[in-house]
Amino acid sequence: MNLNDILGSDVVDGDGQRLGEVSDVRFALDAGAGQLLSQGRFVGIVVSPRTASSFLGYERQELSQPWPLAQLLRWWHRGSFLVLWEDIAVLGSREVGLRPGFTAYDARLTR
Amino acid sequence: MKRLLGVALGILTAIGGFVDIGDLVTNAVVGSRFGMSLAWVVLVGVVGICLFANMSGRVAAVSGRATFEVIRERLGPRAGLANLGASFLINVMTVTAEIGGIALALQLASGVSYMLWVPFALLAVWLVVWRVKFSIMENVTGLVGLSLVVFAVALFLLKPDWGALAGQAFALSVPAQEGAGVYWYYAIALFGAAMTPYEVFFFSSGAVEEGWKIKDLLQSRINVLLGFPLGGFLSIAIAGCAAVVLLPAGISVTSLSQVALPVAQAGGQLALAVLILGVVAATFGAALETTLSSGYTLAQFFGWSWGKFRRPAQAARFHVSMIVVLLAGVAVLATGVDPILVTEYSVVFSAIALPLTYLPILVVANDPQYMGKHVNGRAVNIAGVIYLFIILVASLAAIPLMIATGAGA
Amino acid sequence: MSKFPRSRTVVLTFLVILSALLTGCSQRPSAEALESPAKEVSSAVRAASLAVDLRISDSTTAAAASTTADDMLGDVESATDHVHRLSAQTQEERVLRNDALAAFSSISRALLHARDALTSSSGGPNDGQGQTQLTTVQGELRVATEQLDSLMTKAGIQ
Repeated sequence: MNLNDILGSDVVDGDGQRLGEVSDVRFALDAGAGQLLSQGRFVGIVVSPRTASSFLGYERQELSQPWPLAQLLRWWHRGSFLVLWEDIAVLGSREVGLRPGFTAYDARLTR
Repeated sequence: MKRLLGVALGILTAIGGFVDIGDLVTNAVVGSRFGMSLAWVVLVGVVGICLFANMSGRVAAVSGRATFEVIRERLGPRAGLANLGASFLINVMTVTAEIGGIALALQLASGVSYMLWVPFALLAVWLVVWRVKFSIMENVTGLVGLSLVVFAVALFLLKPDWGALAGQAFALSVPAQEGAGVYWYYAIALFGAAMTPYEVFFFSSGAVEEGWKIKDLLQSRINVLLGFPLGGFLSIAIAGCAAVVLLPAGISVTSLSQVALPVAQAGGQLALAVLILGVVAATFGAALETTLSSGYTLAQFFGWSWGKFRRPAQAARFHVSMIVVLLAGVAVLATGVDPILVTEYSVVFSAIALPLTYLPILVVANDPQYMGKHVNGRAVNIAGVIYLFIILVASLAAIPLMIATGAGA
Repeated sequence: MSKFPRSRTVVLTFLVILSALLTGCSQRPSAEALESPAKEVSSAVRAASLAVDLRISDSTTAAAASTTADDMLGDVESATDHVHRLSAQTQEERVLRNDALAAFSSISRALLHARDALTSSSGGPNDGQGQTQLTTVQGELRVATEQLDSLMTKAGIQ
């Protein structure tokens, strides 16, 4: 499965209620470079209620300039949340289903 | 002393490099139809290009990434590709217009039809792109292009009524014989001519070509902040010549040969010769820049090795794509389409596509991960957001105005 | 049996709409439709006049001046094509269109002469024959310009 198939697909919760769209996918690099490359670990997906368009990097809190643009993008992506890999039940080609009782983490990145 | 010379050279090439076929034609058309009443747009455009070039040059020098590498990283491959497509098409259009401009100027010098000069211009541009060192190419065309100062000299020799010209410039109103739609259409065209995107790709890629470091930022800032406004002053002089001679005579510009009429009237054959030299150099320089820009944008997006600092064999795809672009431009000219018409459309489409490249640069110039402590200052950001608004409005208004006015007819 | 007339009505309606669309699309030679080609030609002939003037005073080269005349000839040709495409329906429109075409063609002729005279004018002010030729051509351009101007005034194009 390519990341492109996940990005922009609908996200539903355990009851089939639509929550939004996948606007980003988060990875973590846990170790230094191994034999080939350091392994990227799929941390989770960012679900945005309104738009699957890019955050343009404004999910990072240290990026706050130019102010009107940052405000506009944050407003557009308001209510976004991060869902961890463990809470994803189905990663289908059409939609992503979450487990009942999933935890919605803050999608913002701080230093 | 050497440093001072470098600064002077940079400023001079920036002046000569600012004016291309788009500026020549658009300013003359506007001067002959609207007098000086659109001079303010040149001012707005010059401040805009200074701002844009300053940001993209800084991003290139600090992060070592040129514009399209940044666009792909920030927008992702899909939106980036759409962006690349639009920018690339406009680049090809501009290459076509510039090669047509070289050929038209050579026709003016020789009386031989421009169609016969097109293959010659193609070959010359390709050879220089292939063989000549970046800095030599830049400095020679920029310095020779400076002979376009003849427009300013001609304007003085014509002894115009300065008060009346200033009156037109400051009245900020639509002249009686033209409609408001046409006025605003040409305002956008003039804005697009001053803020052509290729200048920025070229500027930021040039920064990488010449291996700029953070310590070179000051010099680049001086080049931009002095060179571009002086180039804008030349643009206004072109419009002024047309406004003084052609507007009262009831002549509206449709060809390059008409642009030369006021200069010949003011300064005779000598001035005409200098003008033709300047036009050839300016369009030739711009043809090089646009050809390189199309190579840069493609190579930067797809991650090919690029740059004139590499031997052509080590940047083969970069060089092949430039050959293809040149051939495409010549194929368009071979259909017999009027190069002046291509120019008029290319400046408007430049204005339409401008937000696509401006926005990512504005965002990245603020990103500490790329820029460290060299992020935009407060004043630059205020201006940057104001221009984002202007650029968006011009971009959105261009197509409706083009349809409503029949492309300014 | 009853279907046949109905389909004919449909076809007829379609044809009526189509013809209405076609006549709506092809402009008629009113003063408005003539305005832009007439202005284009007026600008072209004035530019060529200026080029001839500059050549007479030796301010410009033969190559540059003949290029101007050639470019202007192209402009007049495209304006003429434009007017040819206008479809006249009333007598009045036909007269207006023909007058415009007549004015354009005398300007075309004058421009051709101008281009030839400019191309062969080699000697500058010392070339007596060339000067006479240019002066003649200049007179021809003036007459043709006046013809167009009076037509534009008559048609109400400012």
